[in-house]
Amino acid sequence: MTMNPPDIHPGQPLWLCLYFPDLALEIFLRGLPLSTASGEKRQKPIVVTQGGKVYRLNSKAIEMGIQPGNSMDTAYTLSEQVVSFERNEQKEYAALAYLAQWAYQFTPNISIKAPDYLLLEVSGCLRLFKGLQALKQKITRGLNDMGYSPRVGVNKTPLAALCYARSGTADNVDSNVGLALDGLPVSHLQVDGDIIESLGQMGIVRIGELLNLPTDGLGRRFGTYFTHYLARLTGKKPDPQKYISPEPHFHSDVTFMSDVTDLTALTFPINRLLGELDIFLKSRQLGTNHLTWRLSHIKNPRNKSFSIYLANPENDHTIFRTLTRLKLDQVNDIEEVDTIALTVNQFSPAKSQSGDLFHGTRLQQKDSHGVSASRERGDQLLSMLYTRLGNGVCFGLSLANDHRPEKAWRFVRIGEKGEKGEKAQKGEKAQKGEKAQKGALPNLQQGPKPRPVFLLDTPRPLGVLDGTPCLGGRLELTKGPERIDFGWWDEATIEQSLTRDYYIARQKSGALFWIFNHTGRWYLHGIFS
Amino acid sequence: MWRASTIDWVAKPGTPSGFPVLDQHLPGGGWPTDGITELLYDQEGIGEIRLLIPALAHLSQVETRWLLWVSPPYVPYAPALSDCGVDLSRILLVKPEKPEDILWVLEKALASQSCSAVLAWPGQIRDKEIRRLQVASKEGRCLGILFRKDRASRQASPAELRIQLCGASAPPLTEHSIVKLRILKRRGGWATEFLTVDFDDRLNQVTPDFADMVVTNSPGQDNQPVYPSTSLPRNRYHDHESS
Repeated sequence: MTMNPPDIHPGQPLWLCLYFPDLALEIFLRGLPLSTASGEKRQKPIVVTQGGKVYRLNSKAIEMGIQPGNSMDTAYTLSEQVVSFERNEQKEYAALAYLAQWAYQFTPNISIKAPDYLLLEVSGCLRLFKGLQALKQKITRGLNDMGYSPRVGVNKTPLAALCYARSGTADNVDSNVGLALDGLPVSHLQVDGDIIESLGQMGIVRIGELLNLPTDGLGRRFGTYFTHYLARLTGKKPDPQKYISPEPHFHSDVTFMSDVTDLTALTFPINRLLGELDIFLKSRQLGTNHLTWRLSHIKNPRNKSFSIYLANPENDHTIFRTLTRLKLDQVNDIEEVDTIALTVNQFSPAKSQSGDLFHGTRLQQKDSHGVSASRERGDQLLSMLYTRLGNGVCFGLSLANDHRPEKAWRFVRIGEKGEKGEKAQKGEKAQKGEKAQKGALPNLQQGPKPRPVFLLDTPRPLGVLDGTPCLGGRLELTKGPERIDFGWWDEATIEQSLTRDYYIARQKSGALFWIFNHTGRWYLHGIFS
Repeated sequence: MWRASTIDWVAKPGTPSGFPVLDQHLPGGGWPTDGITELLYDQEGIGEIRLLIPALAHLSQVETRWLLWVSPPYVPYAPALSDCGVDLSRILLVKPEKPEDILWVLEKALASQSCSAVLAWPGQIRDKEIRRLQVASKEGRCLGILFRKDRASRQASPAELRIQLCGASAPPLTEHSIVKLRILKRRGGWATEFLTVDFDDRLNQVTPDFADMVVTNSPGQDNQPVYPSTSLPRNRYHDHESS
């Protein structure tokens, strides 16, 4: 191991460590509105237990005299108001992973260190965020808004940054790592308690004293793992980190202290979750068209989840909020809720909105602007319809390439292009072009094969009187027949004739119907409404 | 003497209905561009939609907004609409399950400024609700059309334009079908007498006399009706013959 301290240049990495000492507690406290979380008077003592012992506790609980390691019996003796949660390590890791994704808006180089810290490599983004202090402030404020209180440490190696975060020392940007760590007590090192203890017995209190000891001797006494750790700490050996990849997955939840029975009380957590989604989407330039909300209660295994579908991918949280409220108005079979979660799995690139340089002059591109605005409003209407009525009630129509009346059209989802019908639509467009050139109103002349405005799903059998079909009296055939072959290629049996003779029939009232004769029987198939 | 018809009130130019007889009686010379229009009739099939189609086709071609159909009694037949010049990509169908959802959809759609016309079959609807729809359609600059039963014509309604439709058989030997209609309520004018609108759709083409039609069913020949020599040219209707 070389004794030369490595040169540290300004271009070298700078690590920012976010240490969450109270993560185990904070994941349960997020549901409280900020005002009550900070308002000490109304606060309840809250503890997180592990194996029946107090593991983490809030300030109110400390005030009551509860200490980490106390049994729950002791805690209840000290205060009967104590609220306890069992530690949930899975949820802690999920929260940490979520925060890592959140921090992706600042730097792409983020490493998750379970159980309670994150490492951010920030040398590349200092200029963008106008300096280290501004960046730190931004990160801390963002985390505070989400209900987390991190300790921040900045240093030149990942492990040194952690030491700084744990000890709460001011940032080290310039000086040598060894020099920077010189005055810190050895207890801040991330090593076994035994080692710290033996170091104490050796009379070594500060890290500086430890680093001055010969490496060989330390290696013999404490093992190579320890010397290797020191080398990584001081930057003499590389300490590669595994960075997260920005997975487009959003999940965040809020747990309430007490059960919520009134759905209007959910407005605050919903706004908080949507705000987080907004940052998530904006930092990745993504939009989504499918949100899933889940309301659950610990005693009620039946979760209530509802989805919101949008006509087009959006990343505007005001639209999400409107739609969520719309959907929530329909939820009525929920009695009590203690967790609300928001999940988004489908993403697509956000639409780029090019702003107007000469804002407000409205001189150029008036037309195209109007078109896009009306399309946007159309999308919003569709989103509202999807949200209130469900995803399957809105349809468009398209032509299909088939001569049989039932198969000459089909439903399309809005935004979807007709596949088979495309050719037909092209023809239609060409036709339309001609008409537009003429500049006249389109007329009703349908050519030789008139078709009714309404078609019945299945033909309805008609009564017959003296050989003429009846529908509220005898029908008078005014036009026809038009023979349509009914596709022997689609039918298994071709014993009987599959042709239909279509007629236009008139009722006495003047109503016109489209009826057909199939092997001697009459059927109603359409209405010329 | 002071007459209502001489009030200094100029109707906004409407969308031409495609029927000159109707246009000259409608304020603004066509269907209104906003507001609620009621079509009152009992028998479906008399031309209640055919009356609107030229205007719908026009709207679908000059505007990028939706033509929304709210809970129509049957599925609108795409080829027929397309043949009449309606741009199918503008058509949006919504079938809400609950009656209260129909009104919700109507109000939202009319006010959204994203529909050029909304056609609806609301079933039972009250005055108060029509008034709300009227306000919404003004806000969204959208033509709202309600198809209602004829018995509603005896009650007053806040709708801006009310037209009663009455089926009529076109006289024989004419080409087109007809419908009789009466404007019950309009802006700047009184109710009219019954007008006859000629559809220009060739649905009433002269029919061959079926008594003369001979159907031969002998084994050697194909199974097709034989028409008297005076009937229409056969080939015109037999594009998809099986034999």
